[in-house]
Amino acid sequence: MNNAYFTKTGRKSVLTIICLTVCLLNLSLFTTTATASGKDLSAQEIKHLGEKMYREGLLPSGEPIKAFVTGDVPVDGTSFTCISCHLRSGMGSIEGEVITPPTNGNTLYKQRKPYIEGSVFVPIIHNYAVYLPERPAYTDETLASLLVTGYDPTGRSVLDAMPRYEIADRDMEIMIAYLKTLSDKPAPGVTKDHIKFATVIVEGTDPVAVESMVIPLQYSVNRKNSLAVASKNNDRVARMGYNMLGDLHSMTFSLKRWVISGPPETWREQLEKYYKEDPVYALLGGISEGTWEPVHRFCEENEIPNLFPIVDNPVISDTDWYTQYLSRGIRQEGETAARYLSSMADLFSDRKVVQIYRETTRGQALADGFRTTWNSRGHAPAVEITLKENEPFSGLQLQQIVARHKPAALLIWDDDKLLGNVASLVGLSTGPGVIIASGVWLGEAIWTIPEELRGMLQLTYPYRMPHEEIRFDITARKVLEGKPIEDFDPIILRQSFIAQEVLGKALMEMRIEYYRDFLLDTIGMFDDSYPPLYERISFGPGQRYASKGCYIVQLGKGKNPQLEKLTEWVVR
Amino acid sequence: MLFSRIQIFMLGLMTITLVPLTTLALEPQLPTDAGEQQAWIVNDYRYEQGSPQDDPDMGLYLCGTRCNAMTSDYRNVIDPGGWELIRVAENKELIVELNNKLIGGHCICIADEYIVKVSEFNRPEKSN
Repeated sequence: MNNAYFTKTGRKSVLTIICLTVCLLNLSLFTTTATASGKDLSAQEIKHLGEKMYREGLLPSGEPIKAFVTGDVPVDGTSFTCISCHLRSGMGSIEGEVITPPTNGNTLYKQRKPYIEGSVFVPIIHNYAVYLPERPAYTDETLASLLVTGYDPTGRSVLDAMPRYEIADRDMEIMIAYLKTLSDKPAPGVTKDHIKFATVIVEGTDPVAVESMVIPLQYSVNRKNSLAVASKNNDRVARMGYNMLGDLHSMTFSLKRWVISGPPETWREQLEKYYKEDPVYALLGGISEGTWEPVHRFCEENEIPNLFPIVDNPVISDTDWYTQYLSRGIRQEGETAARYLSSMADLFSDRKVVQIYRETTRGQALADGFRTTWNSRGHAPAVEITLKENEPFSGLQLQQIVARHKPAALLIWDDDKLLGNVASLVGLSTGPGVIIASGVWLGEAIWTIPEELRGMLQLTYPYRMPHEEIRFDITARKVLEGKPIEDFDPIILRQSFIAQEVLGKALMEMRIEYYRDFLLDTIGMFDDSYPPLYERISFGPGQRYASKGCYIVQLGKGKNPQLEKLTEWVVR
Repeated sequence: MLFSRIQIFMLGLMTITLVPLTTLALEPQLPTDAGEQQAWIVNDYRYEQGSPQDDPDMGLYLCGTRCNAMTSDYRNVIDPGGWELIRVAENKELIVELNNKLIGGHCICIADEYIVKVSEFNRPEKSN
């Protein structure tokens, strides 16, 4: 390693100007042999180029970083990126028995001791430190040496799982400058003793739905604040709280309601105004009966986490980072229907699949979910019939559609009016083999499905079976503190319960390091869990839709029928 | 006396703080109106054709889906707390209709039968 590089700030200015110009014109023109100092780059350029190296394994030149594992086995740096183990925040990860230490500047440039100061008696935080060897604080030189040789300042070799990277001086400086900016200062909305949160409410949303969303969040905030107050007033409580939560025990939380109104294109401005006046660490929950896109974009561009908004139509993206949704929304039911039908498509012979849907947000999301998944499996596209939002649709019309297309499978994405239509197919010998509708869209009307339809109408159902869910009532009731559960929307109540539960668990595991990316990294490391409402939720780095499954069900027979599962939890 | 009052008080405080900060619970009140419920854990299955034209492989596949769907995930019983699974019968053969116009026949699901009930041991009045 040529350590002299780090003193090259006095290079000829003319050369620097030339290189900077090239950089501004086309970043990809940089090569590892460029001679300009990385210190001449702006913070934005360091961020851009550093992110490419850290997240994608690409040098500023656009070439993959050369890396070596288990000594001298060459590998492509794009397959062994820093982010895969140290995560986006740089705060490290624990995977089985492999502990990947933090690689943010704050941590690297401090001596590592076998304990974390201020949290010596807090097992959940302290355990992290005990398993990591002591080392002195890194310098730019020793850090560069580590990345190239795999040896830390004590001469200890790091795990073989950590590749050795071939990064030339100038690129190394960019990398190191980037690591110094990674998780380097407290996030907005966080002070030593307080964390601010907000929840976004779209004006005009059903008030019962709004309160059902807010009450679990407020409960959680109140309980945390009670502990903080009790800790101040009682040394024993303080000690107990500290032993469990470290410094978090004495911190207070606040939850603001950000009410937005008017057309969605005006929401961004309103959100920016709220944020400018009083920045928050994260958005919790939130509710909209329509789009969430402007809030999603606001969070993405301001790098603000949003945990579990209550929305039918989340923004679907494999790369967006800051909004963690409960599921893929109602379209997940359409996707499940496609996977279910695909599994029995051999029975269809040449018969068609017909999809009838309302041209509403729900109808389109369901239809699109089905269409995308069905077509991606190589099947002939379904025949699609659309109904305007308020267009009448009769049983006779449905009979005519069935007579014309003779479908093997029929999907009807509509509200409870569809029950009357499907009834017209009872006893029809040439009727579809399978008829599927959305359980969520039918809502409470599920329980009114007439006996003669129960054997033929199958429903997508993205929640735990209601007769099993009753066991989770006690959990959901906690947040009501005696208020009657009948006054609230049971599904939203449970969804919001999950939000506060996940937040609490994440904050406990963040070792008092409340960086925004680390919040999402921490959640990404959670194990599968079995919360109220959903059969199972799971997380992973970059995964943003927690519940990935859905059932196909039918209503059982008799006067007090239960939903019967026709499939296991069909996972995307 | 095993514990002094102070120790019991401290134990109580520990219990409160050991629960994740956001789930500090009220005194649990297990819903007894749910009563006992039946649950199944399926061990095996087979398909019985309705007619010789029914595809036995597809039938068996669909029966696999249908019978496995009957199986309860024990985490749904255990995770809420205060409930228990009690096995009451082994390897019962249950006839389950496929309800599919595209293929006849039915499934035989071979399952252990359980009842799910409030755990007497975990009832609040017993644990106090």
